[in-house]
Amino acid sequence: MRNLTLTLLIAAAVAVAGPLWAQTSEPQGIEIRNLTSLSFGSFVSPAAGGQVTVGPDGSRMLSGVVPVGSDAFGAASFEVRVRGTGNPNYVITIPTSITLTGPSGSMTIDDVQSLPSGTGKANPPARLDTLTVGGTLNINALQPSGAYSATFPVTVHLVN
Amino acid sequence: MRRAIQFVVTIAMGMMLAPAARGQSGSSFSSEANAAIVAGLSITNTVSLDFGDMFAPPAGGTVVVSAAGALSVTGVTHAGGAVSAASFNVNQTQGQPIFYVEVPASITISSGAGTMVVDTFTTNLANPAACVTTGGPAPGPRGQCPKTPFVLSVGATLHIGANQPVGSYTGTFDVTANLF
Repeated sequence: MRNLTLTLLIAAAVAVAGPLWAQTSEPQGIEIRNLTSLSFGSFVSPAAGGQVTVGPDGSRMLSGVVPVGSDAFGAASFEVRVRGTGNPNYVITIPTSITLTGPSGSMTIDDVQSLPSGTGKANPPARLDTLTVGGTLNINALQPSGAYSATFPVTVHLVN
Repeated sequence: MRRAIQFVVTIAMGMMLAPAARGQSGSSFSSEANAAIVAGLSITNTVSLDFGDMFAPPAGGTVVVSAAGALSVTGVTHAGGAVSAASFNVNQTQGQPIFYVEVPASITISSGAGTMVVDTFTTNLANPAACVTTGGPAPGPRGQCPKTPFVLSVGATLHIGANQPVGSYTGTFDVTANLF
């Protein structure tokens, strides 16, 4: 008798769950892919440390550091594609800080910002949006020379 | 009986959570972040080049301050005052690279009432032919030149004209440290 009760309850649960799964047959979905990296540029190792801010709009501000050489910079850019009906917002999740590592040291990126900030919308009919990410690189005093890099995730969620 | 109830409760909760998770569709992608740091050579002026005070010579003359700060005069009577060679700290933020320096061929200093020429810049580098230039390509061989950190001294020769106007004469000159 105890086993029978259990079986019936499981069956009921599956029956209730069925229609909910079926809703996803015409799914709303969201995809993101990376187009360009977040690049701060090349700098002379500062005697007293400094900061480089690359805004999500691609602008750059320098404090206490001198750029040098092939000094390319830019915000990270992503393509966001929304599938399905309606025109939902999506929520953007970015790291609060990123640690770049080099041959013999590390640097921290903080004040990470996205554009759009917080939430975005991929309007029909294209349902494509461009999302960009910038941040502030903190270069330490006498930062060892070398190439520094890291990967960081950007996550988008649809909200209904 | 207690075990069965626990089992049912667990399944029911699982079913409640699953549709909610699927209803909120999400996607994640990573980007690279990058920056490059290059070792830096720096040069900082700590002491000015000072020829001191002198009486205006009727027929002109020269005042030499050596890189060691020694004073010698020709046709001029020196009247005292502070005399010094210029001094610079040459440093590298990383490592100890070999460097050479670039000094001007000549500069003009002025008082408002007149001007004088300063030329023949000298340094405390042991091999000026290899390590000092007034422009153009790097000299060498680099093996004869110093490594950082280094305290660089610079002297020069001041040319005073006949009946040079009285006054306080000043000017600036650039000294550049370069890596080979």
